[in-house]
Amino acid sequence: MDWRLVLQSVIGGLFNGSLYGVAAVGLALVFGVAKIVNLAHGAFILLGMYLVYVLHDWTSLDPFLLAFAAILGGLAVGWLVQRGLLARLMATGQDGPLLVTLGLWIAIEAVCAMVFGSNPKTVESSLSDATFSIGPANFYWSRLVVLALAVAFTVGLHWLLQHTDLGRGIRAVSQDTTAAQLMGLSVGGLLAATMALGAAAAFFAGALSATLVPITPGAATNLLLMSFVAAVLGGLGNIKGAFVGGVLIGVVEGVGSLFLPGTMKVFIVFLVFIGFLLFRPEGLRRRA
Amino acid sequence: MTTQATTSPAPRRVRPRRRPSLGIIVGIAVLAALALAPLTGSRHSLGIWTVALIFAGVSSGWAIAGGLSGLIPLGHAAFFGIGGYASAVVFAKYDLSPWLGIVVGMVIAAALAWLMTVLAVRFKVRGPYFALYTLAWAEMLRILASNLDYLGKTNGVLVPYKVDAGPADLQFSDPRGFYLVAVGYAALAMIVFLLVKRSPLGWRLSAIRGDEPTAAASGVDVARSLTRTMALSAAMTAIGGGLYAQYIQYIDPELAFNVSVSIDIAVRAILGGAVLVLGPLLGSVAMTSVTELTQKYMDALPSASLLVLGLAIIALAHWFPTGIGGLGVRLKRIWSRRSDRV
Repeated sequence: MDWRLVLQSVIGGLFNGSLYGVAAVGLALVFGVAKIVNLAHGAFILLGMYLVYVLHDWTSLDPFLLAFAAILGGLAVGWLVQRGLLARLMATGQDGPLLVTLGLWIAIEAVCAMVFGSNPKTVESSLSDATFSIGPANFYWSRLVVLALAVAFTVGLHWLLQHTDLGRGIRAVSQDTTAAQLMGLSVGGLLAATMALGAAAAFFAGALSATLVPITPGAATNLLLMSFVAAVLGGLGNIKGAFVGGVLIGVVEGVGSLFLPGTMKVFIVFLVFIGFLLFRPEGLRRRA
Repeated sequence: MTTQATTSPAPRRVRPRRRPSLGIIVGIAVLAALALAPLTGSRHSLGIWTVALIFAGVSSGWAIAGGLSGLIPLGHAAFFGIGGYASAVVFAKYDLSPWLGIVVGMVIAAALAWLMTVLAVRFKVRGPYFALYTLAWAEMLRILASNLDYLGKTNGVLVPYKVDAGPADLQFSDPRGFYLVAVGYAALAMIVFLLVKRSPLGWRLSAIRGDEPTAAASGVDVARSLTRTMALSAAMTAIGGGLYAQYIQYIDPELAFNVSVSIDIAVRAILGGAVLVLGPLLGSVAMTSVTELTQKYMDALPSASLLVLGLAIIALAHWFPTGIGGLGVRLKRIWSRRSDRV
């Protein structure tokens, strides 16, 4: 087999996977803490893409710089959604929140289609054309930047959860909501913070992918599905696991594209997904 | 299902309300009149209501599983698409009646649903995980269909026009013919739903939906009930897929298996009320009406109907979780209470 092609596919898959990973991190956080399967996650990713597009159009700053602005946007949207739409339904079981996030998904996609139309938009980074090589394979610098930023975001989020009061509070809620409440924690506030952070991850993922794919109202669906797969692989609720899961899917896709024609590589991803749901719902590694 | 009449005090508890038979007769008469109304309308509106009724049937099929059992299947595009492809392939490639293709589709869809659910129950994939699980199966079929030469890859399968075609080929020179087929299918799907709901299987499902561990402890065979329900639900959905492919004379991977199809099917039922016979019909009619109205009055914004739909779902989750049909039931209850007093 062509050595260059193997390298290209595997490392290319790794780069893609980092994007899946950072998107999955948000999903895993929200599921782990609020126990919500957030179907609106893809819509948040989409908003991140369009936010970067609009800001880039307006300021012509580099999209990778604007990704940090997208984090702020995500925090705001996530907080508002939790406070305004989800908080009242938290006690009624999982069906209500699932429906709300489904409705949000449909509504946000519709709004994006109404505002921006269905023509694809593109965002050019100043790095768009620059390449570097690893051995015989060539890669765009921008992919490496995406990888670095995705890792940085995940590490930052992990640090926040482990070492700050906010993070300790969120982890307390995820372990035992009632006990957290009895300890005097503001559960509603912490859930809002969780959703804000989850949406921030989605916005960030969207912002990073804005330079890589044409932006259309349906552009985030693939990323949504992949982040679900990644989050399950990592063990829904496990931040680091979700990121590793995302990277793994990217690599599986890359390797799959070596052997399989067309889009069949994605078939393998879903096969792996179903296998995990059935046989290892706790994810790649058992949690202590 | 044959021992329906023997014993069991449970069903009374589950469904205490008994409709007066006069009400049912009047209701059916009104529905039939409404169903025949579009026959007098334009070709355009006939087409719209044909599709709306096909999807009402499909959603009723979904509701057998999604409403009665408490499962949240989010991958019914799998069964819809199987029905569509089966009927199209059998007709286009083998020159056999699409009705036969629909039966083939039903069998394949039921078999797949059975397998999926056996695995899911055995390995305890439930709740939101089940939703993602079913969605993943539909995605796999989408990818498979867009890569198989036999199924025309992303181009899909065209259903050819036939010279001197008749009802046996599901092609009608008069569009009212297909409309009546759609009416028949929607009615059949609602009858099957009602039969399941009122059968011992329906009582078991109701028990599982309410409290699964207790149901299991009381001797309900959870695995068997759920697998049967999913298989039946899939078969009913496959019929609709077959009819749809024959109606638009075309099927491709996105029309058949896209995530949005799965969501569309589930949303119509949830919007109308997934545990009520008339729910999916109401939901489907409401959704089609909204789509048509927004297209008529907000021509410039083709996504407006989706926005309305999304907001409706959010409102639903907050204020009327039992859907449009649930509102009706509530109103009826208020009304009958008042008439009791008189």
